[in-house]
Amino acid sequence: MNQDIRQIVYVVDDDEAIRRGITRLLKAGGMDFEAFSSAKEFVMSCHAGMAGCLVLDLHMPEMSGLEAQQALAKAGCSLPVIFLTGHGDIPSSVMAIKAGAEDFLTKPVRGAVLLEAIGRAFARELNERQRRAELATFHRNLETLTPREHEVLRFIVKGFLNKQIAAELGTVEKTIKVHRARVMTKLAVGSLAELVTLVERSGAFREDLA
Amino acid sequence: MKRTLRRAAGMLAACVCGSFFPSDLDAQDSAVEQPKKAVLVLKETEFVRMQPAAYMQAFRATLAGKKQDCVVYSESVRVRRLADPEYVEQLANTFKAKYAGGVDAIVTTGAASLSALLNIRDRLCPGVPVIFTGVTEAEMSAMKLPADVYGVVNDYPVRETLAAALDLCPGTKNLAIVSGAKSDFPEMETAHMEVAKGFADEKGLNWISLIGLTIEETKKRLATLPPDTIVGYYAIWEDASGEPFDPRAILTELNRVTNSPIFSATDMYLGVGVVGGCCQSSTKPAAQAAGIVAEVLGTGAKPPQVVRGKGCDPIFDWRELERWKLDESLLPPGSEVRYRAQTLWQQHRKMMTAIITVLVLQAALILGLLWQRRQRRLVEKSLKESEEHMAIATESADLGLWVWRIEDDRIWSTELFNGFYGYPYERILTGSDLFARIHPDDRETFRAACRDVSLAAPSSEAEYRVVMPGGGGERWLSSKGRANFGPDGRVSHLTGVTMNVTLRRRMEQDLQQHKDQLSHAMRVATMGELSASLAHELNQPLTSILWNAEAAQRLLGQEALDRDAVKECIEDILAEDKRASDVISSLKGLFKKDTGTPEPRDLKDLVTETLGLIRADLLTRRVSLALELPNAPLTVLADRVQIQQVLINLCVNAADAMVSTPEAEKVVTIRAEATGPEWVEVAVHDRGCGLDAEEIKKVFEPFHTSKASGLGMGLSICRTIVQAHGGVIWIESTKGKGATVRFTLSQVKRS
Repeated sequence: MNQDIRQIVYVVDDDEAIRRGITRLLKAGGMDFEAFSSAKEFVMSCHAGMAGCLVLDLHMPEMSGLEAQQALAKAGCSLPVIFLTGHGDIPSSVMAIKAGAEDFLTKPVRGAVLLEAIGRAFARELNERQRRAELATFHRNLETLTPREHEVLRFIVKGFLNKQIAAELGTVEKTIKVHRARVMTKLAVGSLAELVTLVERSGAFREDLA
Repeated sequence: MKRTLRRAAGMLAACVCGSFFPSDLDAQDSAVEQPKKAVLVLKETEFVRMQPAAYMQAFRATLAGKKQDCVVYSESVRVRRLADPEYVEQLANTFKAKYAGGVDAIVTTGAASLSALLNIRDRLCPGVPVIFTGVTEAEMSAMKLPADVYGVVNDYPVRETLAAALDLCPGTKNLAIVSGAKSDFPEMETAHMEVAKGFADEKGLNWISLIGLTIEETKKRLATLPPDTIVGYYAIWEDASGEPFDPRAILTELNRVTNSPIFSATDMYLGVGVVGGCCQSSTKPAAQAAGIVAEVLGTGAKPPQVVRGKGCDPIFDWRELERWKLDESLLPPGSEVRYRAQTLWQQHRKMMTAIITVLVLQAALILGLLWQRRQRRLVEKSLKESEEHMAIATESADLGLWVWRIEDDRIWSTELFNGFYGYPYERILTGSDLFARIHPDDRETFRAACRDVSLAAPSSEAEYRVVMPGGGGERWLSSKGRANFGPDGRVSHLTGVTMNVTLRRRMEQDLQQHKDQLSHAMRVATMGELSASLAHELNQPLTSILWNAEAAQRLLGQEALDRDAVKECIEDILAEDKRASDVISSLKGLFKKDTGTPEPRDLKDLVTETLGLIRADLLTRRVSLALELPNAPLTVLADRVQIQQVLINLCVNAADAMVSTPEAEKVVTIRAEATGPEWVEVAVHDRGCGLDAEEIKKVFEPFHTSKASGLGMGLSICRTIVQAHGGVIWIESTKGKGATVRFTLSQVKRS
């Protein structure tokens, strides 16, 4: 897996002093970072492969933090966003959180708090990224199943017993057992529970699970 | 020869006095030098038909008018005696003696004298033309007239007179006729009586004859005549008792007793008792006779032998008309009314005119004098009043008057003026007395005002404080003076007024204080509105400081100490600290009450500093800022806080105006530039909704607001501030296309 991808703190703030301060702090905290002086600049350069988190000033000329958040979502960038604001007004914070902000910090915020938030965001981002990777693998494995195995998997997800599946498919229980073992292997799952969870998360057989 | 004759005639006249009337020698001695023509007029003295004096006057006047230079003699002839041949003979002799060969024409005034003359003419003066008057038609036809006898014939207008009398006394029923007992012309009288009788019969009047009575009887009858009677008077020469009378004189007596009006057909009786009548005139025949004489003597022409008299003249006596209460309007047309009572005015016209003129002049003089006196009094009064008014005015206005003589440095002044400086009225002040009391800070002002007078600008004024001795307080005085120059062109004295303006000053100070307070309150309010943004403005440096500090802390905790990194952190901390304290000092200024005085400042710094306070606010509202400032510094005279207040206000207003403007266009532009050597203009432009002309008019008025939550004081205060800086502020806008507020500040030139 790509677990060794370095997570980077992307800083967007129009105030140069703030940028310098935060970058020094991050540097001292041993973090990788990249600073941008406007949201537009960052939106232009963002891509899906980015890892880490975004520290976004809420009040900026031209494009505000909230606008940037929307623009990023549109561009498919799923970095967690930590908002920084000089004065935390409630409407802005609600909007930011609703749009999926990781955190909403009011300046002046202690470096430790900021770094903690970044840590949390990193963890979540990593987690997200891992889950996205798992699902991707699952989908890839799903592709390797034969039509018969695919059919069997559908009945398993529905909670049918081997006997029942055999009856449904007009075959014997033993055959079903073989298919079942092959599905489990191909999909790299150890237990039925794990299988069901993965299937559920992947969104496959959604109609069968409903 | 002639002269001898005339002298003899005079002597003779004196001898025959009594039987022969003295001759009226009318000729002048000097006139005899030339062979003048001579005319003799024979005047009848009894039974006269003509009034002698009036006749002669008319005769002479007419002759003179004909340019006939004649000597006119007149002789009186007694008619009664003409029947006596002896008398006539005597007359003839007398005339012959007096005038033989010296008379060129003879005029007679009655039938008797004519007839007598004709008898003796051939002996007396053969060939001398005779001109007769006073002869009736009947008499003339009874006489045989020779060819060289000419004359005027007149009949007595008896009928006309009676007709006029009847008209004048309407309702008359009786006609009484008064006449004497004996007549020398019985035929004529008979004829006249017949005319009268005929008239009475014709008009149906009772005929009352008072003819030939005694005078007593006549009077009695006249006094007892029946009503509605008119009396015709003929003549009384003699009454029944044989007593002779003058018909004119007796008429007066009769008239006194009569109860009815008396009329007569001749002007002989006018004025002595008759009402009047259509009168046989004395003057008209005289004039006609004179005309004939002139013709005969002058041209030698032969005039017509007989001329008819020119009718009769209706003449009346006003006094009688009044007595009998007769209506003048009933008189025949063209009537002459004589003896009219003259009014005082008619009698003494000249005298009265003179007196009235004198009176009028006197009255005018008196009026003139009175008017003059009144005017003088009015002037005196108004002078006094104006002095009083002046005194009241100067006192109530707290005005002191003064005249400062430069020569000896003495000041004449009013009581109030001395009082202003805390001196008693009795004291004559000098310049140094004033100077001693003037506040030390204001002495230079005062001195300059005194010094800066010139011929071109003789007026000067100053406002200064005086300090009362012994802690008596301070008062503000305002003096205005005017210099008067002596013949040498130097100031001889200063005159002027001084006003106590302490109260005004105090009020001005109070007003200024109120303005400052209001301005401050608005600043605080604005800061309140901007508080969130201001917090942001402070949070930025604080955050930066905090992070830099924490970073430094971490760096210091690392094994390999990165000194440079720590140093950078600390430098940033210091820089950010300054930034924060700048914001705070700006804020402090804005919250301070006293704003200080305008000083030379770079407007660009001022703008930048101000923007530091509101940038965050504008950012929050998604409004961007565009600055258009020149590179060179713009030094203006400005009070930092006040001008910041103006800029903040204008920017906030601009942002407010753009609420509905699309975000991309939400730009506030601040432009500053020098507009000439003296002024710098600052413009704050927005792209908002703009204002119409009506709103532009009101926009600087207090309490005018377009915002739901606005106080409407912002622009009003901006104006106050800009004006206090000596500048102007105005707004330019088109509805829907944004607005630009511009204001000016005076530029300070860098030396």
